Amino acid sequence: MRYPHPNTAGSKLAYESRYDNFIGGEFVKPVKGQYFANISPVTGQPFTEVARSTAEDVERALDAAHSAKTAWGATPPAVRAQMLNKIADIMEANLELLALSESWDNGKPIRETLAADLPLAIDHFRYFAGCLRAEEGGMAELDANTVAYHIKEPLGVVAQIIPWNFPLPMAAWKLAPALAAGNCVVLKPAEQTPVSILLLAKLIGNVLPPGVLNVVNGFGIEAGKPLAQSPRVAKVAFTGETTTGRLIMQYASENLIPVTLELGGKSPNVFFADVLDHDDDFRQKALEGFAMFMLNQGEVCTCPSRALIDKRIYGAFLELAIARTRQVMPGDPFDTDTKLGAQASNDQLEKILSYFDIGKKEGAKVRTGGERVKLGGALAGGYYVAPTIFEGHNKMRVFQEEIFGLVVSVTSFDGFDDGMAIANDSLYGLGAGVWTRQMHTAYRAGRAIQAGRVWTNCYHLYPAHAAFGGYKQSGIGRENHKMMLAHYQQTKNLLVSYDPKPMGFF
Amino acid sequence: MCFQHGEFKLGARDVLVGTVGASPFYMGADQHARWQHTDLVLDVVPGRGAGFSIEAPEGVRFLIRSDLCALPD
Repeated sequence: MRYPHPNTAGSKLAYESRYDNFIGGEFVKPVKGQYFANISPVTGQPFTEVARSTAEDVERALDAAHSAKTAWGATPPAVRAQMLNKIADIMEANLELLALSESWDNGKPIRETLAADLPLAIDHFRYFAGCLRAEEGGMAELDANTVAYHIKEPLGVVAQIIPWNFPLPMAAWKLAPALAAGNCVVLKPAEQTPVSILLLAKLIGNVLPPGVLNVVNGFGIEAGKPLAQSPRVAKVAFTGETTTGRLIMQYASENLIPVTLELGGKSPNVFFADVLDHDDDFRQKALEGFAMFMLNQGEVCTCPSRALIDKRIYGAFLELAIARTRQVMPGDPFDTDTKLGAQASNDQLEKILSYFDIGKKEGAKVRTGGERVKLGGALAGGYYVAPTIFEGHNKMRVFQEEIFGLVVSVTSFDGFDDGMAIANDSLYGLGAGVWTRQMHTAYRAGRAIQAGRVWTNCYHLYPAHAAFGGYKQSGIGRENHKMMLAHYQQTKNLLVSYDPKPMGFF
Repeated sequence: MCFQHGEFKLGARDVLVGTVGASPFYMGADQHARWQHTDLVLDVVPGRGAGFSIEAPEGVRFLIRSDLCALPD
């Protein structure tokens, strides 16, 4: 079926003409009164405008967060967990509406927002509600009269800067643990995708006490920077590009506060020869694993953008993989049969096209794709690209740099050690894939690859309760798991003597 | 990324590649090791840059294009 585009007849979703910031439990106009046009990559046309905030708005949001933090931090875990569950319930009740918005703002297929993005975001709130209920501090008996208590306390007010590739799931990944741990949040969405989170804020506005969640929109330089630089935040969580991650760490060093960063990737997807041993389901699964570079139009930090194929099966596997890739082409993201949507922005499209050029000039061979796709009608101005397979070697720039698009670069390896050496010859270490029927090979490869997440005989699954984060230049911290709670907490140690006698020092 | 002068703290390993107008153009050491055999062209395209780059509010984004060049002997 095909959903009508938002703001057209028959759509469930009609945007307002303008969106303000969400501060202190209400929608507030930006202090300077400026707005920016928000463009849908589906059509390339603007569809609403959004607050273009500045340092003054950030301060206002921080004021609201600071006035809420004491009461929120002291709210019993059972009550905080109940609120997170309520947020999840409201999202579930409005799943279709939020999915429509996510697809319109980002360009991704409605098939995925309905089946994956929203259900995962919803589950994330429930997961952290559960973690919070189950969490407890520690107690150690140091000797008969001395006890060390370890009590978890919230950090206070935290800053979160989230990316445009999965606007609502990324907001959930950051908000759920931060709120669960008892923090107040000032969140800045990406300027490419500012709207879905505002629809969510409107829906859940009265669940959380005013000031616990604040959303300030705007450009990185104008709104993100004063937020990341503020001495009034106790931590900055950022997902995005690596240079910006470095800048955020520099700001944090000025204030001596912690950061968690989820940055770039160039994830290897390693196919051992035995995947072709039988013409069975597993062979199909491995080929599907190759095709996973297309998920979310390749705009995933863990995109398996380097496929490393055992040279004993290289030609045969690649032919099958090319045939499989050619079955998929971009279409209207609002058709539930569409598997590929639009790239999220014009500059992202331009970046991908520039890498087509770089790859060709470097001598990489285009096996399929390598060009922009022009769709008709309302989609004529949208940002569509053909899935692209480059063949080359791992020193090429298309193997080393994060393109963040529908591009996979393929090469062969000769034996286990060579495969691992190529897999690890990268600045990044976020994700990886390993495909084999041999459990010994699978385990050895998974341990040898320097990446935070090694999908083994699967790829692109993001369930809550599986830690996610980077090695090397891919970041710091582990999201998607209860261990993220600790990144939003202080540990208070009470060292208590139950001995009435003097200590005997002086 | 294009930052105001002094905004980004340079590290000992960052490499000065050249200057654009009066602005120095740096690259991280690891990236430079991979890019040193290319000629870089600093282009501008319409779009909405991410990060804290100063051009984003103008509705444009810097984009680096590159050509292969011969390695010096």
